[in-house]
Amino acid sequence: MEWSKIKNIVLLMLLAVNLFLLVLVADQERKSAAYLEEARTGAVEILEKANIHMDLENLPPESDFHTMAVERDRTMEDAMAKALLGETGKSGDLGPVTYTGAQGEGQFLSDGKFSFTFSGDGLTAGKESPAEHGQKLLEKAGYTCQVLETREQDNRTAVVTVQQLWEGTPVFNSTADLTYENGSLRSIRGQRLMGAPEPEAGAEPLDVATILLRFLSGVQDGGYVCSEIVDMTAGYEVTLSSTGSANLEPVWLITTNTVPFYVDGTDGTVRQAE
Amino acid sequence: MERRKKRRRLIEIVKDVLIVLLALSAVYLTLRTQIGSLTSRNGRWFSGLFDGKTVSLLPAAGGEEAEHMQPRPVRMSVQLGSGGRYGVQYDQTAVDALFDATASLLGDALGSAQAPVQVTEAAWRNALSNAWGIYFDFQGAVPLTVLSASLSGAVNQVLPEVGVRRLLLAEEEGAVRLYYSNESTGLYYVCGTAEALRGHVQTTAAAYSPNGTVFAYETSYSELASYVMVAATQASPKMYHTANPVAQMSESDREEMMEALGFHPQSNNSYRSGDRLIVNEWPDRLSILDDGHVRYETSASSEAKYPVGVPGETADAAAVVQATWPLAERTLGQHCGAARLYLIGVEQMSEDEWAADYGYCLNGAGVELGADGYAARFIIQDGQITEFELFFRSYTDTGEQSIVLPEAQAAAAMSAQQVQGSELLLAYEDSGTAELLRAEWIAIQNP
Repeated sequence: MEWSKIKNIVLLMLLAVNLFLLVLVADQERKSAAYLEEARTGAVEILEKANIHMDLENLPPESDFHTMAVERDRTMEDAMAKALLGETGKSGDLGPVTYTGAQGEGQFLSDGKFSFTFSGDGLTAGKESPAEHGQKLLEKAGYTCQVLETREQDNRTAVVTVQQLWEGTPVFNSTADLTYENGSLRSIRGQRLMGAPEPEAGAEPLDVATILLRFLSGVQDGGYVCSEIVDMTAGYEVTLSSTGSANLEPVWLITTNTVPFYVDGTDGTVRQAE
Repeated sequence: MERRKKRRRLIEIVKDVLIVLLALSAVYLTLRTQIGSLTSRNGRWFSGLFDGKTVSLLPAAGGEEAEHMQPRPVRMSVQLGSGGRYGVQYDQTAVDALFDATASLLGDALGSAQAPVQVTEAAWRNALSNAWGIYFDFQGAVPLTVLSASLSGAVNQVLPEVGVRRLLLAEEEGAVRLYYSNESTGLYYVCGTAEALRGHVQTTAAAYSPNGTVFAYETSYSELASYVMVAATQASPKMYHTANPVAQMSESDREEMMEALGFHPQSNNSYRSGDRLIVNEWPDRLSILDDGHVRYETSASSEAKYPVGVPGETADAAAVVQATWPLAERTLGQHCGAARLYLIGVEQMSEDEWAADYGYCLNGAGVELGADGYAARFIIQDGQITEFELFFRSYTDTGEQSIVLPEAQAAAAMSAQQVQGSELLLAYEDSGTAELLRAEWIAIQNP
């Protein structure tokens, strides 16, 4: 038989196989999506039976967060100090590092804690609110964040609390307080990711339905009381290890009508948020 | 004619391309249907390949073989100023959790420590009992340089090369100070640390609540050594099954062990003699005894199988640990089950001779193994390991508890035995042939 005709036959066979497989994949995807939706609805129904209400519309999409490893990156500290203090002098090679510049002084610890104190009025909010000014300033320094709250301590002092975001996702225990006096930034003190997170093989994240069931079990076992889940947010938490590195662990923040809870994204451990 | 030919050739090329594309598509769709469904439940390996995300195939953290020693304390306490003390011992999970939360602070203090200054025992006790502080007890004497390298990333050159078992981070007079006791002389020292650490010991300590833990010198237990930690609650140590892993080793396990020690498993120079397998790779000789002992000796010093430190330079304690720890961890550490290896001590015998001992630890309680007590001993001469002895033992949690006397009663019993001033510790005595281990109080007379 002519080669050209053989090719035609092969093409037709391949087309048929592809069509068949495509139908199979589509069916599998549909079933999988239906199963997932059924599990999510089922979890909400189980919660309802336990007298904890949650609107189906409030159910968040599945998250694909995995455990990440974080190593201390001193170049990020250099960049942050330069952005906040201008040209700086540096002291300390091992462990904590102190930066001194025209604007003040900054310190970084191995576990990601950091602090800055500012001496002059070089960093002033001006027409902006302290929250807007602080957020912009930190973002310029490589600390992407969202404002959690602003507390006015007296007529002159305002404390802005921000939470670090990594790729748009909140890192729940990585927060910083910015203190303003008469509109001038006086200090920053808080926790930061000490380096760029890198993927690390570990446990698979739990799906939303499983998280809700673990939450229910944790609330009942812990003797907590709540009757409504107001919000569910996927994020991360930094956990330290004795090797000097840290991990970024997936965590769900479940806000209820009483107290908020954290549910571990991989093992489902429930604990009350501080 | 020529145009038709060209057109025909073009059609054939398009057909070839289509065949390749459709074949690839079929393979992809097959993987999606067969393997994709499996991995969506159990893993993200294949989906990771297709969605373009980076997927690491390394084992989870902690599963990797540790080449550098990472010393871990067996007991710790947190002093809340004058507000009491939180202490943990004989519970390795709790000690590890506390150490994970405080190790970076200790690392920062070691990294920024200034030259040590000798202080009196009274000053040490005052800091231990009254200042905000975090106390670490490593059970063995770990060289300060090894601790510094492990926890702060590099050796702080101002720190002396002494073995320390007990360290204290104390926040007093607006500064964080690092106290330690030299195990060989019994003298106490303090180092200033970076100003950046100010406030952090107190902040860390404030997260813990007192649980009634005291040190013997703060109590009426005059029979006990001063720094025995006495908990308010009774310890409930576990019972363990023991086994000799060498007797249970398959051929491949034995080959793996020989490879870990740098010997060729397929060597023709191995033979059996009585109760042991002998591997002769001149000038090195390895004896694997049926009772779980593995002994190494070398008869020449020109070609070092296990060099220690930098050639031409005198070895120090840090180099000794760096050379011996991986050997112990790759061999004993892989077969000891529920136990953990810890450094008992590094001793300089003469100018160019060192000895390093490692022991087993079960949930924070030491194992007194055989007549010598150690699990591994390495002898280092002239910049190389010339001898070592490994004692393979495997421990499995039975799920049952050992019944032990409350600490106060044990102290009273110790007093009756005329061993005042001894350290009272929970330990497991393993003769090397025992099958079941129960924890018991032992009195150790420290020098």
